[in-house]
Amino acid sequence: MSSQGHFIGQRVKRREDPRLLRGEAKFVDDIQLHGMYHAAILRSPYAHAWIGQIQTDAARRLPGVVSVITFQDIAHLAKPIPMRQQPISSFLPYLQYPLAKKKVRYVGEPVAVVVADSRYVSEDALELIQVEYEPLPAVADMRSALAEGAVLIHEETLSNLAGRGGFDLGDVDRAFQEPAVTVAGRFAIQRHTAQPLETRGLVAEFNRGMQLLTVWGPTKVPHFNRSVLASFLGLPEHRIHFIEPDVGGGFGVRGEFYPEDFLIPFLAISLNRPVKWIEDRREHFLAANHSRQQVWEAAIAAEKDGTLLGMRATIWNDMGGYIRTHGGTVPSLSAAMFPGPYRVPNYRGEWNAVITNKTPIGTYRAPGRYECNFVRERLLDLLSERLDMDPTAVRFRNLIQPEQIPYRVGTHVLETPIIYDSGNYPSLLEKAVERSGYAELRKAQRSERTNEKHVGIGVACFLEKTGLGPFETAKVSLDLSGKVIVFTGLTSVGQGMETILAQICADQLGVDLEDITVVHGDTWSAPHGTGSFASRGTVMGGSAVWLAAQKVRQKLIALAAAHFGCREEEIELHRSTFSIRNGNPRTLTLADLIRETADAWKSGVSGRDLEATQYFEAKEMNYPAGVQVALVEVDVETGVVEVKKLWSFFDVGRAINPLLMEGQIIGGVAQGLGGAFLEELAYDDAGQLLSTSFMDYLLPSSAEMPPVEVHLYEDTPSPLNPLGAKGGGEGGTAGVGAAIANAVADALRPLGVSITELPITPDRLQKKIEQARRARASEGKL
Amino acid sequence: MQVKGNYKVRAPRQQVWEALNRPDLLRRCTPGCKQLEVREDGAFDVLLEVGVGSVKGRYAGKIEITDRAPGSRYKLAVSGNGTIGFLNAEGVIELEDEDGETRIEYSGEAHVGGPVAGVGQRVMDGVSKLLVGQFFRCFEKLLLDERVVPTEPSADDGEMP
Repeated sequence: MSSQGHFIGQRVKRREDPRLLRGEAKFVDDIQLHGMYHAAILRSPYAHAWIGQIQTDAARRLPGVVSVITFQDIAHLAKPIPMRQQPISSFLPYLQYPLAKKKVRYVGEPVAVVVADSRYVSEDALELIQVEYEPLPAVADMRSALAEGAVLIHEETLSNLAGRGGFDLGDVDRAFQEPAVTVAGRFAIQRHTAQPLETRGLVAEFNRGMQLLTVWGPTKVPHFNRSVLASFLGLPEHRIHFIEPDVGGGFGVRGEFYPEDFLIPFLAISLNRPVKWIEDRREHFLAANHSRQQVWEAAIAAEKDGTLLGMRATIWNDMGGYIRTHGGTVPSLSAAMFPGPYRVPNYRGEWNAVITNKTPIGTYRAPGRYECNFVRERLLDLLSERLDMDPTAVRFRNLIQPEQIPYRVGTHVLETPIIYDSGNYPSLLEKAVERSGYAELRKAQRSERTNEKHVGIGVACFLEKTGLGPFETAKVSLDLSGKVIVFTGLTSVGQGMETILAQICADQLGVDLEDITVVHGDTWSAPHGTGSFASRGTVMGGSAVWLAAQKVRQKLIALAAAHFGCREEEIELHRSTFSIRNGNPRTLTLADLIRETADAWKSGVSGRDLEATQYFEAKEMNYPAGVQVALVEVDVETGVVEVKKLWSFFDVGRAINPLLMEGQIIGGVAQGLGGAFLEELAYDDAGQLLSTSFMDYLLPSSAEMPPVEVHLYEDTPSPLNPLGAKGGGEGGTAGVGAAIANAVADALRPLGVSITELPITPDRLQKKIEQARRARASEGKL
Repeated sequence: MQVKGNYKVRAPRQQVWEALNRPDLLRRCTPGCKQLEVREDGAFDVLLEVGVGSVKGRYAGKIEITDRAPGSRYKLAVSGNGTIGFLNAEGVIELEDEDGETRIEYSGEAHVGGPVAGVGQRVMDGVSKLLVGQFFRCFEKLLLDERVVPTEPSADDGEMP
């Protein structure tokens, strides 16, 4: 694939948007079924407690209540929810059951479910359930979880340290023996997570006669979830049909197999009536995966000229009360991706997964990378400060050179070795320096610093990992009028996948976008699939569509050649019309060809057999490169940081739709800024989550968004897929914490303030500034 | 959360002590108290309706008075479970003479959990001060008032103004 297609590479507007903007989208809560019941979930108010008697009689007696279940009602089917990704055997004793069994381990853990004929009644009935809790000391942070004699959260295990792992490449100890320079630090990234506009929800219906379970609402990874549900319920997979309605945002959090993904279908089967459950916002704060919370101790060793000799890091990841479906994804990604786009001859990265009495964690947009990029890029700025070099100079000195690519890092994650497939990192940084006007920004900073203005510039270089395998499927099928249905194993979680796949298919088949319907998230129309996560949709699903459509195109060309009596190479197909090269004026529409050949079977081939299924597999991921530059101004009196501008440079190999790619990046930047400045899932010492509403959990709104300048590049297409594409879902987020922290630290360098923790809130920053001033003052006195 | 403070009541110490042990007074003056019944063991079963910000709910719980040193001091333990979470508090109440009047010193610790903790914790300090203040103002008023008789529950439902 070389030339720009009619649709590939074009700024096609999202075909999902009209229905969303008109209020005509259909979300899971819009599904109304005859005789449908409504579930509500009783959640633990304690972070850590034994469960004694649960009295449900009063709740059952409330008019309208149909059923109340606790663990003992599901005991015959219950087992721990398995790990989907990065499974680690030492995690097995820490997995979660769908309902609390004997003990609760975080505030929000499901204890009972009420089903009633309305949500109002089921909520009222929750209040009538009496649970005897015997509170245990809550382990609310990693330090106390790992302290000697700590209370064991999973009492049958030996430790609150659920697992550890990492990499040891080269000779790190030697690299740190008397190097010219070392810089080290302790870094922390706060607990925060995705807040999709639409909270989670499920509707399940069981057709007893057909022994068929239909579930609306699963997204992200429906095929995996179907397998898990089948194994829980003892139903064969083909008797479980998942349907994905419109989805109001995923970001990694939505669509994993959660306790509710068992409970609601189970209730629909046992009551033989449709059951709906819609998560409310407070529930989302407590029940959906949290993410990010890590503490790092990290160091780099370098020569006097800034050349890196080695890096080492120990990571502690606060996993919450249980290990969920992501297994060790977040901590191991953090360690595996820590070296970033640099030559690091010696690297040791160790991670520790620590259980605490908090909501379990999972992945959130750019998991592990948001964290490790922050730490690495801060260290590089500390190194440049120590060496009195410009931050970009230190980076230029260490970036992997294009001729070294493919570059094998030596780390591995998600069952793939990390091998950078393509890229020109120095050139991208050069472009970033040039397009952001970096030299002028520095000049202005120097001249303005005198007048009490604290302006800072932050640069972060990073790599993303995208296009995760193992496979994706597509089926392309033409109807008798020559219109196309694309079935994909992907799901649509807001990324514009219906548009992207239609563009890819349209170019291959020579049809218009309007002639294509994309069916996704449906386990019957795509019997196999992997799903939408890890920035894999376009790379994996798009490639599968490209190849499936190619097969259909070959069938069409063969039919048309037979019709015209010419060679296949002479046939052109454009805008649903066949023509012949070499000036032959004869043309034929796609619809006419199909009509003519539909019933003219020749050796089993006819115009009816115009479909093809294609699997696209990948053993390795691909790695888009990014640079983010932030310009900030800090008010040293209040600690408020104003982001004047943020530049995002991203080499995506090939952008199928630059408009959507830019949208992804800008949205990703917003979430990155939330993590840098605002969002925090704060707990008190007793393990109570303190931020369970948008009063206390602050999201960036349009008012907080700085101007974002996106520069997309297609300089280094991926050799690993036929489109050359790399994923763009998470690159907007991945480097923001790093660039912002570097910019703020840069602004406050004259005051001696360093940034080692996110989020950078005004109160914390102001305190740091104050401390630094006092330290300076007392130094002055000495 | 720490709760600590004092309140001066314009009545002699012995009278204040007696009043502080009277279920009817406790019922009338405890903000949001809908029901208070004396148990066989001398503790009280209570039903409280309180609200913090947008979170309002009902707690069923127990108030226990122990370590009584007549005329000067007792220990108070409150525990409750309800729709908006749980509440556990423990404290000491001490009486001291002061110019013929009585200064009530109170100090203790309270723990809340569940929805009320998630939504209201930031304002909890202020709310607890407010509720304690409400209690003592009511208590003093009734004490000084000759019409001290158990009547309908207080109109004050314990909600933030």
